[in-house]
Amino acid sequence: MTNLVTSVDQFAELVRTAIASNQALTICGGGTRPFPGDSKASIELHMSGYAGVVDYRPEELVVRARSGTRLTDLKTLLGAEGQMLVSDPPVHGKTSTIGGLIATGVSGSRRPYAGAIRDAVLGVSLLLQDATQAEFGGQVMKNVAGYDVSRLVCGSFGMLGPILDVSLKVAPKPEMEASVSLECSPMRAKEIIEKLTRRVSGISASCYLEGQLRLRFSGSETAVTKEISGQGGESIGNGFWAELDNQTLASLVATKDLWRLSTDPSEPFSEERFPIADWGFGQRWLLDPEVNPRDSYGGVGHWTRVRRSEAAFSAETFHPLSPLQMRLMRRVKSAFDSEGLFNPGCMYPGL
Amino acid sequence: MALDKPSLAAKLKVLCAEVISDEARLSVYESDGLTAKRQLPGIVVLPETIDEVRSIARLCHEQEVPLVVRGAGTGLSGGAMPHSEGVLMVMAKFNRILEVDQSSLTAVVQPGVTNLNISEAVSDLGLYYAPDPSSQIACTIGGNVAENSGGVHCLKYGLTVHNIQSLKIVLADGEILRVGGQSFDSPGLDFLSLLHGSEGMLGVVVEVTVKLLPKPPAVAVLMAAFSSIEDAANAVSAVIAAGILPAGLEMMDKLAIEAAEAFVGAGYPTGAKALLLCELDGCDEELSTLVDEVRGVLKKHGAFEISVATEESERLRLWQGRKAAFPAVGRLAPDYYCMDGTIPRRELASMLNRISEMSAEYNLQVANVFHAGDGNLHPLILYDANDDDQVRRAEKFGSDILLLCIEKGGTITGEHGVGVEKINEMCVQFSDKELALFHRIKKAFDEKGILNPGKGIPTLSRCAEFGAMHVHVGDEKFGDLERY
Ligand SMILES: Cc1cc2nc3c(=O)[nH]c(=O)nc-3n(C[C@H](O)[C@H](O)[C@H](O)COP(=O)(O)OP(=O)(O)OC[C@H]3O[C@@H](n4cnc5c(N)ncnc54)[C@H](O)[C@@H]3O)c2cc1C
Repeated sequence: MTNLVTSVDQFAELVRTAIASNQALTICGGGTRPFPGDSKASIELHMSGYAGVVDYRPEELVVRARSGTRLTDLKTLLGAEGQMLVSDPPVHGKTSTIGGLIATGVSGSRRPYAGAIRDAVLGVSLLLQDATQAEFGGQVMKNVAGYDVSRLVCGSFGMLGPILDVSLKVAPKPEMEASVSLECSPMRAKEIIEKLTRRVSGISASCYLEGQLRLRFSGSETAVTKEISGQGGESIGNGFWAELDNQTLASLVATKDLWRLSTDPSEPFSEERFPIADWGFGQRWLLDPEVNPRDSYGGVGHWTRVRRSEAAFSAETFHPLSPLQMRLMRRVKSAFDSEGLFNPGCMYPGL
Repeated sequence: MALDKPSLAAKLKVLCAEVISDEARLSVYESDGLTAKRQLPGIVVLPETIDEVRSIARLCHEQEVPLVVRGAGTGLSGGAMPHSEGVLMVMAKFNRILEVDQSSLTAVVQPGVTNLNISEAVSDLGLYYAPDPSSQIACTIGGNVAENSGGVHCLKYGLTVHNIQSLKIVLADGEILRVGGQSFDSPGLDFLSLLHGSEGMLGVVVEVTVKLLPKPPAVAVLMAAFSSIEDAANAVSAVIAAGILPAGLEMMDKLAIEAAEAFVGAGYPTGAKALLLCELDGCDEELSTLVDEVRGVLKKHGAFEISVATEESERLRLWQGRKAAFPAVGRLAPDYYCMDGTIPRRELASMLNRISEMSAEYNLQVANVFHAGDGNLHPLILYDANDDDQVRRAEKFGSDILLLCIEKGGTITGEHGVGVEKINEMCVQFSDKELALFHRIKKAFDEKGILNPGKGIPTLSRCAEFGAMHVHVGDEKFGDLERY
């Protein structure tokens, strides 16, 4: 059953229906990143009809939007005021929503240098399992009243309940951004990045691919111009970063089974294995592996199977957790959702 | 449940070298920075190793004895106020910096290390730890995590939660949980965020990996004097609206300026009604443009005197007045009560005006010195704790300020936490359902409810009682009610 919902009352009605008929609720945003859950019969809750910016005051650096609001619309609105979402959140398709972004908690290329999308979350409104609405956090910059449910919800893949509204801190757009590409070995690339992060340099993105280190700098015109000229290399357009973040680079588009390793940037790196590494080598992309990369992995990072259209083997989406972590997750899940209504199995089987 | 002190103390002595149970020494720990709330602890322990913390937790868990953690005790909401029938675990001996990693720009530290110690230890490397509460010479990083503390530099560099990479936690039953890691994100639910600001109610922080930042090459502090609070407040919004993100943007009102000036002689213009301190940082090439831009905005909004400090000693002198403002104001009266609400910046002027009206109504002086850029207010209410009537008025005044923060779309606490102090106001900010969810989260981590019981989240019956008082008793005294 599919339902496009436009009001909180309708959401509440669907939650009650699900409970009464012993079905789960599958929460859908723009449908650009479906994460399959447990196969329990479920009612689809389409959030995309619940859209619109509720409050936006540029001078407060805060925007509050309904979860079905399209990311492209939100970016346009902020851009017109010279502002932006922090961390370059990916936009995987025209229909991608802010609710989907918060639920998946993914950040883009600015992540290591300007923080994650979770850092920008100031408040959320959630639909609870009894079909009532609850507010956590708020629209102010600092708030320590009660546990930080709003950041907990970020990256929870809907398992704690449907996000209705979200308030985010936004950032002023830098006066200038410019990018360069340098030919060098991965080793040299690491050194360059380390030097740049060791001082205030305005570095705002880094990516190693095809024997090239690509860098972006952001800040005042004076500062960025100086940094760029100090790097040498070849100037490239800033458009590259959106292609990287939105996974529209040709090699990524062609990938059927896409894996990401998020790890300590200093972990040994092989460019034969990882055609693309960004976040200062903290995020590495593995394309169409033949065996589960978790099997032979001994590092400190964690693997996510980001996308699979065809795959040679079966594997879970997220990295296995310790028994203690799983136990706590299960308990927190049931603190929000004792009936197992919301997106069951979406993050981990049985959760 | 009454505590069998001798028997528990004997068991604790087996687990940990330093156990305090004589009254004279216990009294050292009877309050944190919120001195109006005092309670003698049942027993105090000062563990030295993570294993000791674990076995103390296990024992308390088994015997269902309340376990309250204390860092430096500088908290301003009674979060570390002891439990009369419980164990107070003081983290003072966890005072070592374990590792500094210059390549990942992180430091692994024990929870009892003071905030300032971290920055001092990495200063020679050209690095620092950004969140800087005014109490940074004393407060511990464990306490900072537990309160999600802020500071002057949080406007640009974020709160504690934005500057911590990972934590090692001892749970109520003694299990060890690691949250966060060496990568930029972690799988599973974001417990790292959840633990920040959890006020010692979900677990004991036993190790902290902090992120370090390179020191900015160029820094300037602008000091601007205004002849009205409104002008200063509007100037704050205007700076942010201009797309500038200062490293810090702080405001002081007349009483605070005069007190700070008399205390440390920072060179503040004592004729001003309000003062803004605006710190800007960046590279050498861009700083002077930025300074000019901010100077223009401040002037346009009525600043009648602006001075700029770029030399380190000059800058420190200007900040010294701000950092010493609490104790400076403290000299004006026997006691002060520090409030901590956050409101949207645009409400600053009307809020400050209302506070000054309330000050007349309650006949108690109030000084304001606060994180204006974040909209985080710190009204300091002056009173005399030996005068019952003043105590009552101060508490009621404080509570009114917090309720006004909620009305303005803000929150009852920006950085000092709920503790025992703002338990009642939590009932106004949150619905019963929201509070019930908080209790379920607590239970998910601490089923028996031994960690810091009675703090942070009010029971629903407490709220029912508070609601009833609010309606029926109005101005009646409720400060002496048990606040759980
Ligand atoms: C003059 C003055 C100025 C201040 N300025 C600021 C400011 O600018 N910004 C700001 O945010 N705060 C400020 N504070 C408040 C206070 O300093 C902070 O809340 C600080 O983080 C408390 O640290 P602490 O080590 O003293 O913790 P404590 O007061 O000992 O404890 C605070 C809370 O943390 C818990 N806790 C402590 N250690 C641990 C641990 N290891 N594991 C789990 N829980 C723990 C306690 O149980 C308690 O709930 C100020 C206080 C004073 C007195």
